[in-house]
Amino acid sequence: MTTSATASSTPAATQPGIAAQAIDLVKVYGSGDTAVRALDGIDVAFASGELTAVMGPSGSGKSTLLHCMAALDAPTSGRVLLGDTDLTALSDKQLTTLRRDRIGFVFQAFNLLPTLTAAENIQLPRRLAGQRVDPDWFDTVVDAVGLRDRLHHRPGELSGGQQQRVAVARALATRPEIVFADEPTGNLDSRSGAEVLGFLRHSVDAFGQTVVMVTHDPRAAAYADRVVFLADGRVVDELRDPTDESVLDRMKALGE
Amino acid sequence: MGHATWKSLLAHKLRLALTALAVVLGVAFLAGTLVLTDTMRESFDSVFSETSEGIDVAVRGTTELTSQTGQDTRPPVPEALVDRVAAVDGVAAVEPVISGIAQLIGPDGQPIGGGGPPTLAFNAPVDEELSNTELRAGRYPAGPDEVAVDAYTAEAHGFAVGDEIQLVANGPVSAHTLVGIVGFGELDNLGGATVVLFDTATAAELFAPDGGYAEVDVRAADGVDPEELRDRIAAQVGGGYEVLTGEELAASAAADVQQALGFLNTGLLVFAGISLFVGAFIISNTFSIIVAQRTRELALLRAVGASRGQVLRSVLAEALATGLFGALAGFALGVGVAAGLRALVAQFGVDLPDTALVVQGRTLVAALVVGVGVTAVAALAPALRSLRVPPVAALQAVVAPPLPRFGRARDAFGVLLVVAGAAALVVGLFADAGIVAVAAGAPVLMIGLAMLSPLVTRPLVRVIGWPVRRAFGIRGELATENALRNPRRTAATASALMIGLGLVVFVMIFGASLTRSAEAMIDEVYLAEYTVTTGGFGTGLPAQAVADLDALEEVAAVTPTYLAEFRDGATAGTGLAVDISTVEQTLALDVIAGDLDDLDRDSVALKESLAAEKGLQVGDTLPLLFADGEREMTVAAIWDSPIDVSWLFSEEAVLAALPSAQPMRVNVKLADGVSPAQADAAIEEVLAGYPAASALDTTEQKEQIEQQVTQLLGLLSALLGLSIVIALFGIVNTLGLSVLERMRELGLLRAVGMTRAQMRAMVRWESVVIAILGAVFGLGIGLLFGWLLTRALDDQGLGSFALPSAQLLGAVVASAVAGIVAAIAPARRAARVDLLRALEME
Repeated sequence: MTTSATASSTPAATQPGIAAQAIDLVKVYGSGDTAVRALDGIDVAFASGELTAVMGPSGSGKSTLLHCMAALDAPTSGRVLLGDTDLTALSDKQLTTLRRDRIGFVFQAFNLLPTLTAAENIQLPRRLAGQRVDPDWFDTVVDAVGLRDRLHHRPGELSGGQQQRVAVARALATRPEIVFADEPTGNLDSRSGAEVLGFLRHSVDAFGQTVVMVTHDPRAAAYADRVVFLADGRVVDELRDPTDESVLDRMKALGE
Repeated sequence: MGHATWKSLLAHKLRLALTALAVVLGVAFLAGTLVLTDTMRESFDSVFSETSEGIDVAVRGTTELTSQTGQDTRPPVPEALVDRVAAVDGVAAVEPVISGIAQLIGPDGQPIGGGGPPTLAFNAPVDEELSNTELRAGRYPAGPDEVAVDAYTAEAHGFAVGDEIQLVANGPVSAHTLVGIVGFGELDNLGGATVVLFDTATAAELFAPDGGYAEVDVRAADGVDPEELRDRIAAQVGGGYEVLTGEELAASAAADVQQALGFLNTGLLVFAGISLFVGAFIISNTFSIIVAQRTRELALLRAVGASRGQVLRSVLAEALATGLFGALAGFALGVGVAAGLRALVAQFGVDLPDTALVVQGRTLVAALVVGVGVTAVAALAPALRSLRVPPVAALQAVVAPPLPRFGRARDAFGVLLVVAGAAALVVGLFADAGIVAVAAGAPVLMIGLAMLSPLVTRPLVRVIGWPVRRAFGIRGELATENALRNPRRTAATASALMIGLGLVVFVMIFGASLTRSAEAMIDEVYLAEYTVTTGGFGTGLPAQAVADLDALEEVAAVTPTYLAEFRDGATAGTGLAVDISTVEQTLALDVIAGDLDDLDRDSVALKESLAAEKGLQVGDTLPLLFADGEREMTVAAIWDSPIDVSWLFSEEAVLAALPSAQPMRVNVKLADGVSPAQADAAIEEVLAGYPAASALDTTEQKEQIEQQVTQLLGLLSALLGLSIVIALFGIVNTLGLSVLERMRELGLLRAVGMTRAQMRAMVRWESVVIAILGAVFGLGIGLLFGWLLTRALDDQGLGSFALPSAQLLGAVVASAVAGIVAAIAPARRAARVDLLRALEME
């Protein structure tokens, strides 16, 4: 798959500095009377080299947005651009290789294959591509998340926080254009959660990584450069350089 | 709870169907066998009642010796007795019957039949009312040049009244005019046999040169009760003869077929049993997986108040429902298969009366009892495991399925079974404890090995998986790891394959060893360059042919060889009877004591091992029962040879018992300096007059043996094939359940970039690893059984242990391919995994 080929067929190319964007994105679940409009024409862009948090009450569409932008789910209409690539124009196989080569994931839980060691889990996407992780980069990432002495353990032998750190390392190992994290600290105690968030922040600051994170926790959102607020499938607000308090205030305002 | 069971069944229709399939196939085999043999039994019963139609009473010679090979061992009824029977008050007519063997030559010059059902010849009836034959066209033969044949043969080969046809009857080919075509009641032939009728004088000349009849049929005068007439005749003829009513005659003829059908029935049921045994493995494994996967659900049931008994009953109820469904479907399938097989029998030229399929109540009962029983027994251990699911498991994030308790105890039990099974096997094979010990030991040994198999699964899978990892990278790695993650499950799945494949391997080794031993015997024992045989059933080589061969100047010696049947005390025995004057020129026999030249009508030469076993020496005597009665036989010589018989008699000993006996084979030793080409030409010229006979040199004999063994192997492998198919369904089932269990993981793999093709490859290679593991287990068990058997049969001519390495390698490769096939459906299921649902699954 060549990015340039798809880019040339894309009329509205992404502006410089934008890693990914959604244009008039609609996602409808079901049909007829029971149809639910999870995304109701969203336009949003995520800047390169930034940590963006997506927040919103349950049912606001924040997870759906993440799934559509991360090529995990197909939107009903509208477009998703990753760099110059229009995801809505790609086949399942192209989407699969795109997820493998250009996107990193951290899920809330069950991020790792139980049969593989931590090191093998980190290398998994590269191995699926028939390649190896560059050893220097592997070392850099492993050291960044502090897993050097846990590399040959299987997930069953790691704590929840350690498992999430392996997941972060895996997401970073392919040097993806963007990392999507879906409630990455949702299952962790506050200390482990803080560690994981710290690593995500560090990846942005040290490696220029682009990260988009869905969360409902104002303290997690405070690690971001920018917070986008969703409600009823639309972007309703945003906040730059957030703090615990400013996020909480804005959420309260939206809740009313 | 019944409601919960029902819901669970409905929710897993596919799983139910796959599990039930293991029962369906085994039960179908069972039911099909019973229906087929019942139907054939009834068909043959009506064949024989047709053929004894019109006969009120029959008189024939009696013998204490029952032939093992279907030879007629009854002494003839003398001419004088016929008159005495005819004179009995109440006898309206008598019909002396002469029977023999005659083989027709088809228009293409090839002999008709002979490989299967017999080629019979009789004298044409005089009293037509008394005869079972009915003219369909023409008339009965009169004079040496005329014959009649059965309607089926006439139809099949285009014979019409007036045609000139050729046949072989105790001599060279002769030409006759076909004057009549006969049927037997409604039937066109006698259970597949061809029938030729001669006039009585010609039949007597051909088949009873010394006079006498095979049977005397009697028609009662009007108003005379057959049973009363039977008693009157019996009183008149005295002992040494059997006097039967027509009905008794039919029953007696049917009894022989019943016995043959009984063997067929038992043989097929053994294979049905093997299939069910494998099916039980699959069911047990499937229910183990189901209980493991339903741990949380079962815990929830417990948490909301279900008792342990209710949980157990719900799992068992699911097993019983599965078994019932499988048994019913298997029964229906079995009836269908039997109908198909019967149609196939008709294709082979057996005209059977059009009886409907015989589906006895006991067939349905057997299907249900076996189907439900096997399922229930197999599911019992997994069901009991469900008792140990604690209610709290419903609330735990990570649910540990209840593992079989007492791993050590289980292993110890496995060791116990292996030891007990192996002991029974060895005792059965070596200590003459017989087939029962072997039949009991083999399955026990297999269950024991299957229980222990998880112990070696881990290292074996690592070895088998190594090339897979090397060749297929991360896919191969994940496949191997998946096969390793539950060694017990992998081992159980592979064990099911082990059974069928182990038996196939065993049969292969047995066949190869048999071939090699037979070939070694031919090399070591046969001094004769050629062996002439007729390959026909009951037909040997006519005396004239032997004389013609002997007269050839290219031939130094001929040894006619007969099959000698006798009874030694309670055991039936067979030996060889030969022309003593030439035997030492054609067979390599190492005479240890005595002299073969001393062999006569009342003496025997024994193999050394037999003489030692019986404690007999030259000069000792032992009583043997022949067709004509018991004779005190003197041991004339003791010899040794790799040949597979232990009793050697003179020609006279057999001919005294059965004057009409013909040699089954004639060994021909060439004169010095005769080239094979010369010999071939000369022998072929003599045999041209005997189309059923053929001369084989030692190479051809070896080829023939190999061919026969290959056919046998093919048949046995086909019968075992079903159990292998069932084992493959087991792999499908295990993989399918594993895929369901790993949905979340599969979703994760798709999310991080595994393509659908990679996903399918991963499942496929896991399947291949399991299949090869089964093949390795099977090889092991087959090698063990094969080696044990060849050791046990060492003194019965199976001395060589041969490893058919190409075939064995083929079996492993075939298993791998089967693994790929078994993975198709589960792999497709895995590749279709809905990514988001898998990831969001809680």
